[in-house]
Amino acid sequence: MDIAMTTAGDAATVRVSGRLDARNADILSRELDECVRGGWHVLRMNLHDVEYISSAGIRVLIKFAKILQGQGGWLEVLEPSSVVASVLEMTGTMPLFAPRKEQSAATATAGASGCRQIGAMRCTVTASAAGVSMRGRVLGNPAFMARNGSFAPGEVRQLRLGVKAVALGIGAFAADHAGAKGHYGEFLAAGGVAVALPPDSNGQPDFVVSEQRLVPELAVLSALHLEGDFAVQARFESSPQHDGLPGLSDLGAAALALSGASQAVMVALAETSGLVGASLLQSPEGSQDAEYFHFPEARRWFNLTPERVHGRQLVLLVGVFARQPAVPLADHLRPMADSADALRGHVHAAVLSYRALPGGSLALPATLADIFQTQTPLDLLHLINDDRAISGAGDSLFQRGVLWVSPLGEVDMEGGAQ
Amino acid sequence: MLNIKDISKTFNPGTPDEVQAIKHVSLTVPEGSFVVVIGTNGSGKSTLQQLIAGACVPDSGSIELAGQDITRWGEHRRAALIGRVFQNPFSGTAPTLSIIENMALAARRGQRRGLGWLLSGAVRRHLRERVAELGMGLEDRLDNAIGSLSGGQRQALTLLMAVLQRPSLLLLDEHTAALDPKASDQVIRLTRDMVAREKLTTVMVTHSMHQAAHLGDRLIMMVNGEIRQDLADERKRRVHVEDLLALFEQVRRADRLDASAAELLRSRYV
Ligand SMILES: Nc1ncnc2c1ncn2[C@@H]1O[C@H](COP(=O)(O)OP(=O)(O)O)[C@@H](O)[C@H]1O
Ligand SMILES: [Mg+2]
Repeated sequence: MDIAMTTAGDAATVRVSGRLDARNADILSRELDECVRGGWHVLRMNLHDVEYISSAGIRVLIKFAKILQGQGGWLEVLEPSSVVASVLEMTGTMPLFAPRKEQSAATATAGASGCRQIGAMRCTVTASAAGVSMRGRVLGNPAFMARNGSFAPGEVRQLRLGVKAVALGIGAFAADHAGAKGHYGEFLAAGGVAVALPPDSNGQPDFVVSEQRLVPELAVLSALHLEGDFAVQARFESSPQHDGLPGLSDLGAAALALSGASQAVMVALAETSGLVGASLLQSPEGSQDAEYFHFPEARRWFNLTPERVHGRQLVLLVGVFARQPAVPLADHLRPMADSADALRGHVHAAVLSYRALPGGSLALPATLADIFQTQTPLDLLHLINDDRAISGAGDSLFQRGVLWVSPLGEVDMEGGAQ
Repeated sequence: MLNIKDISKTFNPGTPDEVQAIKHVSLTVPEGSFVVVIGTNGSGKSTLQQLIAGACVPDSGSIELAGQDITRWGEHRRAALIGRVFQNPFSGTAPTLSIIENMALAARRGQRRGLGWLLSGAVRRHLRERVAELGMGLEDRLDNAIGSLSGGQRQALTLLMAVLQRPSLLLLDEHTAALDPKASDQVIRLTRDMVAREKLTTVMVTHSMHQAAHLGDRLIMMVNGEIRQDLADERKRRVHVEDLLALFEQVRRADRLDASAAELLRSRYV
């Protein structure tokens, strides 16, 4: 069997020749998976030179027709050989693969807007709204960890997160501190979905999706809480002009560039090429004289990825980036690289099993509701660029994805002021 | 009840070979509790058992068993309270003696009885019944030398001998590690049944994640001479093999978290 591919816009023409038996169907399935991951939403299967097709081969065609349908695209069969045509006829699957004339949803929207080169990334804006920004507030002060201090129950704040809320920090799903004690860990929230990783859960994150009157509620030790609409939605992928994949810093730079502000909120759904980060091994509240960042005590507190993990998965990123943040926002941001003028940020990542994203402009709440309907998050990390010489695991890397960004206006302080 | 308070043990102190095998370990095992101990190689599992059994002496701390402070007792004296089974099936029994002779020696432990007592019909009948409970047909081979038995059979007998006097504490140190999978399963089944029936207070070291997940009512994980995890009751019951593998992965990660990583976290984690 031979597979040859040519692309135009978001359509790929795949020319298959030879026998499409079970073994080759597997190979074809893997190739088509690459196409779909690569963002091609229309697959034109030229089966003119296919001399045999088994049920395994038909199954692959049906599988991808369905996957693409979910993404506003389709799979069509062109110039089937007589063998293929008669098998598709007999199985009644021919109409499923009928060629179409219209544009895919993705092409339709992409045509309307431009493509921008930002650092190592190529961004295509798929939706934007003028004059939109977010307001924010900080809760608690993460400095309690730096000063090895204990945490007074009075410093705990409750967060109820509506569909327009974006938040990240250290917290637990609970109605108050008493219920959250022992479970505080990293969390993130966006588009009506909140994910938290209780350190006592053996690494299994928990999540709450807004539904009717159910709204995610967390008790938080420290958090960034942003509220408002997104100004820009964009697709990104690694730029052909650059070697290597975009890292977290590139996403940060893109978030600032796309929002045209010096501080910005970013939510992203992206395909990863490996994440680097840390999560808490113990709930940090109430620990007298806990030396979180001392060696070797840090071993008891942090799970730090020694190499990139969760490659080729789907990840939900929630973060804030800024060039020169002022207090109190500055207390919640950290350098994204080891240099004095480095971009600062704070990003949490919830890991999900890979699935292709639909094309076109996406509504964040609906997209997340759809994903979380069938998926349980696999992990949650506070992303860290491990740029230590030699032993460092490097930065988190991404293949492609969708960004939602907004300029971040004023950030107020609430509680835990010290 | 076993009550270990803050014991430490350093081998070869003050030499280049110094090893802090046990670091300030405290552990209370209530009457009838079955504790499974797992841990990386060299984490101190065996040393902890030896400290409990009196085969080595702690540098500091104390050990109480059955209401008595046994910290200063010799290994021999403690043997009256403690039954032990080791990894090597050939270490727990006398190979040239017969099954019944080995059993009789175990039955006599801590008592001043002559050989005449051993040979009395009533005792023989009682021991024969106990051997029959193993379900291995060994009751018909009571006069065969132990050396003629398979590893699994010997380990089953060693286990039976260890519990014969209903010890205050049963110590098992990887007692199935040297057996083939079938014999290992058999000995594990016997272990579970004997511990349950006699409600024995038990501390069992194992390298098998499957055993660790499915046996006992409490699970302890040792790392570098310390107890890193202690899961009891409901949390123990919910543990799966995958959770244990994840725990070991966590330990592997922790070992790679060095001073520079701690500094990285200080500057980058919020
Ligand atoms: N008798 C001894 N002399 C010197 N070092 C020992 C002795 N026994 C154990 N150690 C050391 O103490 C540490 C703990 O060993 P051990 O208790 O056997 O671990 P485990 O049973 O968990 O594999 C190891 O580093 C081992 O080399
Ligand atoms: Mg964080």
